[in-house]
Amino acid sequence: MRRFPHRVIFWACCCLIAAGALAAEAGRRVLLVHSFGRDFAPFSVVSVSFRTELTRLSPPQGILQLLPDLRHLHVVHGTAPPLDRYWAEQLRREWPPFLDGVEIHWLGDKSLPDNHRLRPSLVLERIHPAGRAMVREAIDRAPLSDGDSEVEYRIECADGEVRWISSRWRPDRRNGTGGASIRGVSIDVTDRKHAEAELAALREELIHLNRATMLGELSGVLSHELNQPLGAILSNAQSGLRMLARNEVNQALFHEILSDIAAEGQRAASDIKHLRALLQRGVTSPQPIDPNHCIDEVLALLETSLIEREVEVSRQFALNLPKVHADPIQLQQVMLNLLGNACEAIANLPPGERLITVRTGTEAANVSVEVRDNGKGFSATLEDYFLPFHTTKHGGLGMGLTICKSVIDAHHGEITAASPAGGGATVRFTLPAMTLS
Amino acid sequence: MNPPFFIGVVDDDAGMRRALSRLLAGAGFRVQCWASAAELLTDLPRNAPDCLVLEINMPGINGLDLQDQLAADACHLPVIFLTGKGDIPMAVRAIKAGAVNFFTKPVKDDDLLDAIRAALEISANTRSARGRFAALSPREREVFTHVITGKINKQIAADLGTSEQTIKVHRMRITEKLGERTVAGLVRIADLLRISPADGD
Repeated sequence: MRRFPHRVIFWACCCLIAAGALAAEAGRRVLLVHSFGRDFAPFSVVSVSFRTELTRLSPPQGILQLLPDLRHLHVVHGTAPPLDRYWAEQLRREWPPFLDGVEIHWLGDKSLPDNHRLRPSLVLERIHPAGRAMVREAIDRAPLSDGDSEVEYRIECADGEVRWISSRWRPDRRNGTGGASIRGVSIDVTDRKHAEAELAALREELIHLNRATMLGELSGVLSHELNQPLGAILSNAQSGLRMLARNEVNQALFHEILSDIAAEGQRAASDIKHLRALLQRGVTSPQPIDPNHCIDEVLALLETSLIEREVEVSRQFALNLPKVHADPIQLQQVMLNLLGNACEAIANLPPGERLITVRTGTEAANVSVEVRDNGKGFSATLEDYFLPFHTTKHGGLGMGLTICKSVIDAHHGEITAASPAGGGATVRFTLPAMTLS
Repeated sequence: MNPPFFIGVVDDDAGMRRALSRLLAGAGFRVQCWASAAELLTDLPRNAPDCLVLEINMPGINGLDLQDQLAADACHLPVIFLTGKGDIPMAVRAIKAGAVNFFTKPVKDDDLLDAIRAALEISANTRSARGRFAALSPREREVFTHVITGKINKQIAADLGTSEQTIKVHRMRITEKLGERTVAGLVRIADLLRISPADGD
């Protein structure tokens, strides 16, 4: 593929970013349309592209769809400010149904708070330092591809407020002229960004709540896990004290007692550490994880509970499973949810028939994990099980699978549910395998 | 010197088994531990302890079911529960089924040892009562179940369709053989041996 002329595209992108800056300054809900670039046989080419769309009296596909709450429109032609004004006025004339109630501005419009000059260095300076390098890289990359590019960055406004801008563009070759331009939009997405942040916080909250609820259910089990080492520690210490009281100190036996106490103490400490890790809020730290090991840990945590519920777990783990890049706590939470669901699904079967199969394997470039129970399977439409508040249990909140899905989605994996032919229910998820390097 | 009493421990946790062995051996008992109910059940016929200390939550047969199974096999070993996780329904079930005591881990050594001594006393009393009871004739056993309802000879005679004098003789033999003169003492024996009184009408 022939590269686009670097200088042209670079300049065009700068125009687009500048438009983003303008959008941030003026009106806050603004976007900016259209063709940039200056190396093409100057403006006839652009005007044709405008005109085609205008004569059809339909807005450029895909652009107006992005504009449900359009208030202001900036026109930046990128060639000369008078043309910006010209096209702004053209638009107002030609697109009335779409631009009703929309303020239209152009670069250099005196009614704007600031007169933005289109110099690349100035443009880039407006961008928040944290995103500057990323934007610069995207602009540098733009001439190398004819696909869509998208950057999201922050602009600090004159009054100090920080706005989020999203710029998208696609390079556009001018056939036969040797010129090029881009088509793109810059949209103020601050509200969406805030909503996203709020959503992420809510999701985090929900995941934590789910974890806390499960731990509430597990607390009995955990008290057993802790009472076991505590019981051993106390009895060992008391045997030691009794030996001392009888004045018969057997050094070898004392050594054994104290080593056992130390080992049991460590066991209790690691149980508590595990519990604390699960209860900890937020700070997620994806890392390479062996899925088999992660599942083993969850099964160890559930061991007492599984014994109590008289559930048999069959582990069918693939050997040499690739690692996955994931947050260990969230992955364990998914497993806790799935195993908890499976246990509930088979609670009505007679003891001795309650079986859960956990299978791991690889599938293309993914690692797959499957939890299957031999209960009565799913009844409603399978997709419904992943919806919030869908529950088939008494006292269930209906968030378990929703949370699993949100965690797996965040890890770029997929989760599906099925009622296999042999009966029971299967929930299976995949996560991208890490490549060995 | 008498041979030491034999205490059996059933617990799936290896650390706990070692700790209890040390504690009980230090207190002068002979101890053997089993990691599961199934292991104990296979071993029991030729190696019965005088008293059992049981965990409840174990893979396979749990402690409470083990207690039921022992009772069903007419194996009336005194049982003490020592569990990592216990709740009121478990405790009620255990005590109703005749457990001597119910502790959650961690347990104080004195509490456990006191319970074991109490259990051994019960065990000894039961054994001696069972020995004496074995000397009763079938007819005397039948009369015994009526005596422990608190009925007087005349009523028992009417119930069994015999004379008051006959019942009087049976009652005398029973009190002689069991070494208990009072009805309260006989009831205590019935209780130890889990003999239910005859149905009154």
